[in-house]
Amino acid sequence: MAHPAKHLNCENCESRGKGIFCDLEEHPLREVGQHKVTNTYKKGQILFYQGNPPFGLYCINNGKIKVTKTGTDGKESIVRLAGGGDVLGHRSLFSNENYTATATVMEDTTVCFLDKKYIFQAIENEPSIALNIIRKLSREMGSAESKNAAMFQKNVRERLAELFLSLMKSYGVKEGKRTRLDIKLTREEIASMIGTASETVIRFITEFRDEGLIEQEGKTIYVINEEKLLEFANLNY
Amino acid sequence: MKRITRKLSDQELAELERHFGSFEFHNAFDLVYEDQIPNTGVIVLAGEAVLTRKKRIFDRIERGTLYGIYELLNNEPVRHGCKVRDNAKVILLKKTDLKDLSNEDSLLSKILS
Repeated sequence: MAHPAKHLNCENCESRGKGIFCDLEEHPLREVGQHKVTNTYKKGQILFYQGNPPFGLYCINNGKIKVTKTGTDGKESIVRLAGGGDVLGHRSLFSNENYTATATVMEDTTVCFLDKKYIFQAIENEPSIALNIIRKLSREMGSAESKNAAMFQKNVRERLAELFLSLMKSYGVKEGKRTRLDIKLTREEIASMIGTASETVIRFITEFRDEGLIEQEGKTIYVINEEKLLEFANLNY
Repeated sequence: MKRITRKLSDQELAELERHFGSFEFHNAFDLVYEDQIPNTGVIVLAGEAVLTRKKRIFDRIERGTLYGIYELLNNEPVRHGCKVRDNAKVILLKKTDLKDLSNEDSLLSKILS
């Protein structure tokens, strides 16, 4: 079941500094607030489906969302993880194409929806919004290029180490000398993110644990040796 | 805006479609989950859309029936979710469209008032 979120003012949004509206003054920000619809979605609920037409933009206030692509063989792979301050649906909205991926909520997530007409009006009135969208798109393109290159230039061990470092950067919570990855991913999901089989992921996770890079408690992964993980990721080429 | 319970005529639907355009959903999709504020109002043109509650189908939304507009404009949650079936064709009425219409004295605003 989804719930309407307690009405959130854009001025007090916890992701304000990271979002596309971060440069707006109080008045235009209030205007955004009058056009948005805010809801809290539960785990497993879908924001949009691959193949369906876009009709607005989703700004994530907090929580976690996975963006997946389903191949012709029916296999699903995670192409991106999104959290507070991220925007979803913009690529299809501006390219006027149907969604090329599905956005699924991974845990309770509060999302603000803004319709297409308003977004286009707002961009015309406030060019800083367009600039922030371009910044986000550029970062996403850079990350997609790196991921694509890694698929060809790196082996699975290196890709897995790099993924843990990236998860640490986005979802790491320092707990004493170790860092907890505050995101629960199944072995299959991890495998789909680095383009390998889940059996291979399990084998390398065991190796990383034996080498003292990570620790596991149930489904939670802790990074205990970041330096060594950096070595394993071979980030120098 | 009041809740609109009457069904729109074919002529009214044609006028709304001409103005707002329509969307075809190739994959079945929960446009609105129960107890959620709808992102858009919905009018079914063709195909099937259903009302859901606790993952069960509660009722069918008939062609020309307005869904979720009152809740959208008043930031209120809907009691029943709305799921569109494969290849359903709908008009989606967005908050900005409705706000703009409320400032107009047109046939469209009369249809939706």
